[in-house]
Amino acid sequence: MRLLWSVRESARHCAGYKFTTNLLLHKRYYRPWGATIGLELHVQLAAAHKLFSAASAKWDDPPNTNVDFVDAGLPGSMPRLNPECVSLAARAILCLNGQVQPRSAFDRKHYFYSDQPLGYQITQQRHPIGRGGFIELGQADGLDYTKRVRIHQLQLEQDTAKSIHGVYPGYILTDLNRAGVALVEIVSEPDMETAPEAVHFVRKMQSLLRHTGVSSCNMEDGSLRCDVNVSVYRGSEDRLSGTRCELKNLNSLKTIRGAIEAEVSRQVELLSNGQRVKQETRGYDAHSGKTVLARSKEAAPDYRYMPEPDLPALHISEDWIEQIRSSLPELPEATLSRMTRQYGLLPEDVATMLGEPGCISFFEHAARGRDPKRVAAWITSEIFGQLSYRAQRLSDSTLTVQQFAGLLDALASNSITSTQAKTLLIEFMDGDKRAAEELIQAHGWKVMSDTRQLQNLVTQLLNEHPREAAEYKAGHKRRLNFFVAKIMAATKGQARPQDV
Amino acid sequence: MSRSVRALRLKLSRHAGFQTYAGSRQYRSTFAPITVLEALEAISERNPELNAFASHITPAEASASESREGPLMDWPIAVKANIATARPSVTSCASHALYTYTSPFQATVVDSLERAGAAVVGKTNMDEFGMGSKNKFSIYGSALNPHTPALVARQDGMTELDRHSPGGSSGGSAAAVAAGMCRAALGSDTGGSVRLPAAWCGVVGFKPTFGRISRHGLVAYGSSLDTVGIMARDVADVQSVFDIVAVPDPLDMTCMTSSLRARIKALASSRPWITQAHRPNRSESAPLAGIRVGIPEEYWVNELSEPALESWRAGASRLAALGCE
Repeated sequence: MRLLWSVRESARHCAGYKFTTNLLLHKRYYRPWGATIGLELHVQLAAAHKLFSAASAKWDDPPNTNVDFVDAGLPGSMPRLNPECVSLAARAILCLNGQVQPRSAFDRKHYFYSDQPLGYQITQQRHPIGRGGFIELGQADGLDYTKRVRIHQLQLEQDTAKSIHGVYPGYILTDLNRAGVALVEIVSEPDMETAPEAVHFVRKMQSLLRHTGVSSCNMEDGSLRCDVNVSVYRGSEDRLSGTRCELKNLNSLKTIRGAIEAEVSRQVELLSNGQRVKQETRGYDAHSGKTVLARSKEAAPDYRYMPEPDLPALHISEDWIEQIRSSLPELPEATLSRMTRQYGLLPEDVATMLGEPGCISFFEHAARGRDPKRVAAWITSEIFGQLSYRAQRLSDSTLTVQQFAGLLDALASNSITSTQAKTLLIEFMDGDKRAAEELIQAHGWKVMSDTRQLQNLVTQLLNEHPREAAEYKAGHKRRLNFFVAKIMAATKGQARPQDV
Repeated sequence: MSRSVRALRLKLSRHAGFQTYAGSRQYRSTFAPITVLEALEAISERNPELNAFASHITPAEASASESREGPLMDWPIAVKANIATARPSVTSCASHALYTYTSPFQATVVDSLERAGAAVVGKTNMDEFGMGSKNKFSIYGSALNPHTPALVARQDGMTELDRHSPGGSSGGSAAAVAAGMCRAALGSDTGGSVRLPAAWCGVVGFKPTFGRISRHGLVAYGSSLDTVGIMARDVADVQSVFDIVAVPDPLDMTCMTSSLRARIKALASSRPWITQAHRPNRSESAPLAGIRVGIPEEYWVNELSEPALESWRAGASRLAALGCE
């Protein structure tokens, strides 16, 4: 009875995958199976030093070079809380609309493994620094509907060392550079219902945390790690009634999506056949497209949580929280709504500009005193086109706002044609540092605004091409382009198409 | 020290850049001072029998290192084997697990003592990782109580284990102080490990409030209870050492900050049982009048030996004679 999920799979092959997603949500009254999905994200903070030691947190240094005494668990060493990590955690909590707790405390989570020199991880299980919060997913994020996913808590904790297997048979090599680096663990409420929602949640989280400078949030280099909890339930039952399985070691957004879908299918099949779902930890095998057993929950260790005796409670004042709040940059959603209102731009264009770091401020500088829609059009089509051709980011490009502004002004005052402007742009981005006016003069461009000359040209052309002229007169408006092109060629681009 | 001298010292320290030690008045000890070289002599003489030291420096090493100016100049200090030192280099906690372990950093308390002019003469015997009360569980073997006459023990046919224990887990430190092998000793007290051996060896043992003395460099046993304790022959010497080591330490987040210490001091000095205002009956003959002493009845158990009970009674009557309630 894989009703809904097989419908999904077949629908994927025809137009209307979105249709099926809507089906899932809009037809709640008839739903054989639903999924309950919660995420646990581990995000490495972009702090210069580790959470409890003065060692550098740079991840690409030679192995075992950034190790302080407490990272190696040396006898008599003691942890020291790094205030920068607390600031970054507070930024993360505030940009997720959560509450920074005025009092939070640290715990020890004990387990024995070679990547854990202390024998325990210092974390904040019971009194985390952040509670509550939410992420709104909507059209701008790739969903056709709006969905609010609540955050349960955000806690500071230590990262483990890196274990390297397979280099020397029978040995695990341990790199302590990562031991003690600050992580925040963000636990979501199990509000998500489909794999795409989960993926968009992660994407949105990445964008928010990158935007506020909390973390680089890359799944590829391990600064973002994601575990998923999945359970299923029959349509009429409570969403949380199913047994959940944990999916770990999901290394990319694609894997997350595949793993969730595979796991939901597996659980639905088990329950449909009258079997129980066992609480397990599973991994995902991309080749077979199935989840595989990693560890049974019955054999899970007892972590012996205890309050961390080497660290007093963390007290945070309202003033300090306000300071952090005022230092946050404008969040993407706020920028989007402001710019569509203020400049009358389309949301898609703003979203495109938001995707490029530094572009919004570039636009706002250039749009001062100029037509914003035109500026936006130039940026999103011409400039972005050039950037992608050169495989550059806007911040790497040699184009300055002043050059761009000069270009726009020249264009607006009819001093140059659009073709010439495009050439100018290319030259700016090739590295020419001169101002727009200088370059225009250097080229010796002048718009052919002499209408009589143009008219002569037009008459000349009409005579040369009588057939096309007749077609135009008969109603083929497209023939105009033919003539325009001819004139542009004749005048070497110095005529303006509009005049023609 | 008069206020003007103190002010001058503070001013000098700010300009000259050397440390002053707040409140390091010279406490008058009732015993003759012991120098580092004298201590090392005593060690070579008595340690083979008492086994109080796990390791110690040589007189050559002591003379080679330059002696520093400071309130504890030329004080020989014995340090328990679970406190990290640079010299002697091994911090073993009397355990096979750390038998040859050399710590890359030194404990804050040891740093403070060295900056005050003291010298660490050796690392003392202890129960492994602090787990014990008789200094019995040690890779170095038991330490012995200096007050046990060796000859008597042999004539009675007592085995080594029957000889009086110095107590533990800081047994070596207590024995070292009692035998004159150092002027003061550092131990660690989690559940009595400085107070018990000090009592058994007849020396002063002081356990500070958790957070008064930095734990950075003390190997953890019960982290929310561990403290570094001080032992010496009399209270004056203990107090001299306390003044040096009871300072804020940013490396230990559970060590009290200077603002907290100041607040506690202000609070305590306003308490009635400390200020003079509430002791109207005090006089020459009754110097402790107005102080009420509590004696727990529960401590009077059948197992209490006669000498201990006598000592207890004598102490109580002495306090009463001095005017206590």
